[in-house]
Amino acid sequence: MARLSGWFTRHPLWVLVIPLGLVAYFVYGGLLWNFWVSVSDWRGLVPSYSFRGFDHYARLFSDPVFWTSLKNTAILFFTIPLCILLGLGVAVLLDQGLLGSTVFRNLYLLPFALSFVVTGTIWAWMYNPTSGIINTLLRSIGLGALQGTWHTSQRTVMGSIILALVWQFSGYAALVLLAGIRSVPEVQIKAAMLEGASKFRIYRKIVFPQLRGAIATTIVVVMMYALRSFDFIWVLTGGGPGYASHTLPIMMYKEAFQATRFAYGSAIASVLLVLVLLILVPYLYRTYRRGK
Amino acid sequence: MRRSALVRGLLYLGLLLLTVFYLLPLWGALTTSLKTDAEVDTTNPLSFPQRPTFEPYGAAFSYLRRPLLNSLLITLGGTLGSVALGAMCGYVLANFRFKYDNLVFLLITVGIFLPFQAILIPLFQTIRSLGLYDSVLGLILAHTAYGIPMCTLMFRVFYGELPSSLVKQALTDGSGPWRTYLKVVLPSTKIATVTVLIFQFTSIWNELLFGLVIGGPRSMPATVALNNLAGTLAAQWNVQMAGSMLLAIPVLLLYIFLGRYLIRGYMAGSVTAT
Amino acid sequence: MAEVKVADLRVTYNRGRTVAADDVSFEVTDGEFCILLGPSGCGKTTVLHSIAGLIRPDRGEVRIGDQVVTSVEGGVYVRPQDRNVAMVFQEYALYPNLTVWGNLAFPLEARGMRKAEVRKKVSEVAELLGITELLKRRPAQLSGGQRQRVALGRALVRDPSVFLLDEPLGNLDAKLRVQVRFELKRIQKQLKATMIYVTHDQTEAMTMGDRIVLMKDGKLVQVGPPRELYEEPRNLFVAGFVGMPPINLLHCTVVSSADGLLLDAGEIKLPAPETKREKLSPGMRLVVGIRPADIAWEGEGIPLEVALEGVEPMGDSVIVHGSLGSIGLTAKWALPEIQESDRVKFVLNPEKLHLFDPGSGARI
Ligand SMILES: Nc1ncnc2c1ncn2[C@@H]1O[C@H](COP(=O)(O)OP(=O)(O)OP(=O)(O)O)[C@@H](O)[C@H]1O
Ligand SMILES: [Mg+2]
Repeated sequence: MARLSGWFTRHPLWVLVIPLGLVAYFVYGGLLWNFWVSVSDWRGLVPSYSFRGFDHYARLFSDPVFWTSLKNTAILFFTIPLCILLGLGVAVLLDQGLLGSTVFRNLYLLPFALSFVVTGTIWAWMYNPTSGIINTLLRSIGLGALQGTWHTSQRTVMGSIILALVWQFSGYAALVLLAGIRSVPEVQIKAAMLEGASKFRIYRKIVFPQLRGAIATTIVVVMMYALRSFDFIWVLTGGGPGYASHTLPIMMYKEAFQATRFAYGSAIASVLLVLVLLILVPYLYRTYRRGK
Repeated sequence: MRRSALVRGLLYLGLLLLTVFYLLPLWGALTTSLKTDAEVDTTNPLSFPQRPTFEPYGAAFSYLRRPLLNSLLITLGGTLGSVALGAMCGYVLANFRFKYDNLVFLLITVGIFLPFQAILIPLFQTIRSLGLYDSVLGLILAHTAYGIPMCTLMFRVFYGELPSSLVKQALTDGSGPWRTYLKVVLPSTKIATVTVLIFQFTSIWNELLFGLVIGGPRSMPATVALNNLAGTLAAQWNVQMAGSMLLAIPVLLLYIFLGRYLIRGYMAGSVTAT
Repeated sequence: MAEVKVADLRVTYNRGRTVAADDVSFEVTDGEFCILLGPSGCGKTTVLHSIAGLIRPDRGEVRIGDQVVTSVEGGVYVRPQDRNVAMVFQEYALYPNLTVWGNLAFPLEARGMRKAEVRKKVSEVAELLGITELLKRRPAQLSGGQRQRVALGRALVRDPSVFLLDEPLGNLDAKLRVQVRFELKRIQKQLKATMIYVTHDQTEAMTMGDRIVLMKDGKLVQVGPPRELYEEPRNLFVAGFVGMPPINLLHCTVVSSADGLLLDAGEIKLPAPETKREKLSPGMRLVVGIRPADIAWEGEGIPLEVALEGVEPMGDSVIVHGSLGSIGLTAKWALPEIQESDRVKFVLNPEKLHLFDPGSGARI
């Protein structure tokens, strides 16, 4: 330890070599390598790196499955406003100073802590047409007509996924938004109350406008989950029925690791990366500038 | 401000309805996991079993035993690795100024938002050429590497909350950076360390994709195994729910006993925006 | 405008562990400028918030005009928004997301005032406070003093029965402070407004208040016009808190001599004031207070030759520090200049001495 300490004193930055090396190799090296694969002709289990140019990208844009996946990825974004609206409602309810509010908050957040594999399995059972909770409940309250085949039908599969994701994420949105609401100084609320503003008006005019940061956080986090939404969909539907719930991550996985079309898979991954960067760069740029 | 009993009652009703919304699926999973095969088909999925049985748990456990052990090893290894390395980055980035320090931080944080598909094939190749395909060690390596960004971010946030005079004082007192870290920073940020440990533990425990791609029959983590179980035993919901519960139990325990820290982790993870 | 009556108020925090106000009763008449004065942490804000209804007291009653707005015993509690009081908060409480205009308009819009009227009112008040050029800015782009004026403006745009002002000038620089103080007083006179004004600055209290309510540790110490607190402080705390520079305090023993009773402070012996004579007896211990302004440089009285320790010119007056052995004395003279010398004459008037009991601090 003593010798290590002396060494570190002289070169404090060297300690970063291992973690930075890992990140450089696995993240940035990986991204470059992936791009390289996407312009190669690698098919099958044996790697091959002969240059094929942008053929795979061209093929991608004429592949209807790609457009379906892209569309579904975009549809998943509906999760965001739903999470924020529900989360905001929940946060306001939790902000009413009722006894036990923290307990309720923690209960609502519980689904967020669970693995997508667990929630995916549970929702598959919830949506099960014959013995699932949802249809059973609908039958028992006399709304049997509304029974559906949920995640196994082309028409309703994306809606079913979004509903489950809202269930899993909205507690998180509520947590972040509640923290935002609580960070508004109490004296502002008191002043507004004294000045005759109704509760509704106080939230709308004073509190909500100050939640920009919290809402931005929620949007980015939920969006990143949606863009990377592999685990949950994989477990719930496997991308089916047919291609109805294919998203870019699902399509990529199937192309690369099931069909062993590695080059084609990495082209899909590159497109996904560009989409993520389009969303991420402005956001990170802001953070970076603030850091400076 | 005091409200009328009616308004309070309505607010509580709202809270209770939300509780039902968020917990109903979990409650259903629990009751089903305690039912016999016969009861699953004949009773309401939400009703509590007449004669609770642990048979489904036995069945699920016999299938998940090895994967659960794998998951435990992978999670412990990946958590320790990523937390230790992330803590170093966080410490240096929070306390020492050097050229391009902000850029380094930015480049690391990008890793948090990385869509894993974009590095999946290179990861697969790397692990294969290291001879670590289908090994617990390979999965530990992957989780360590891809856990560093999040850990770095969280530690930088937490270490940044320490009064900077504390570290500066120690450094000017002649304590080296490493000694300062062990003697000053680490002891005064125990909660932060616990927070990141728990956060990483749950993230790695819950993860599916890496296990699917670089794990195999020997090193399969429980998430992959549960998914396979669902595929093979499509009808036996009680066993599937028991398996889900087995997978959820460690996280639930952490959530119940150390939820405070986990929630702090969720908040810190989102701190970049606020 | 209305009068305010606070009776037997008691407020506690932390489930009764911190008593922030106890046994507080006072009245503010219609159109009066009342100062709530006291050292930091004595419970001024607490009392003010209780009047506004932002705090529910543990005991007591608050009346605004002829309406009881809080009565713990009577089970009455009128919501803050229904009390028609305007308040300037110690922390400003500006809304960061609204512009200055939005901040000033907020109380009016909240009560559903018509747009044109809002515009008129806001520009009037902005004009009055000299913040017209700032109307488009947000609070974060304002200096401390500017923020404070916006906070003040937000109270002034309304037409309340009572103004509650919590250290509204705390962050202004000296010049602005005098100016706004003057403005505020003028506005108050013009509107015949009832104002309750919190401060811990006794100069502010003395110059602005029609009446002062002086608090310490959550209790009232003395209530009265500024002159009364200055000339007849009820106890040592009041004597020490009110008056600038602070009162001189000497520890004395009463001794009898050929000329009657003397107050013996060691180096200084003073004849006991005629009016207090029957309350004194030899051997009694006392604290004697002498206002610096009651020490003259000439005329009738007891002359003392003191060593000159220092002189602080204040422009229109000078503060002279002198000493006699171990006793230090401060005098305030309206003399613009004082000759440099190392000895100076202090003339004390025995009838202007304040006597206090050293144990209880009470005035004798
Ligand atoms: N919300 C609170 N919880 C607990 N104690 C409080 C709270 N607010 C005030 N106190 C305590 O009550 C006492 C009176 O506080 P208050 O704010 O009324 O004082 P103040 O006279 O306004 O002081 P200052 O001049 O510093 O503003 C103080 O001892 C303070 O610590
Ligand atoms: Mg105060």
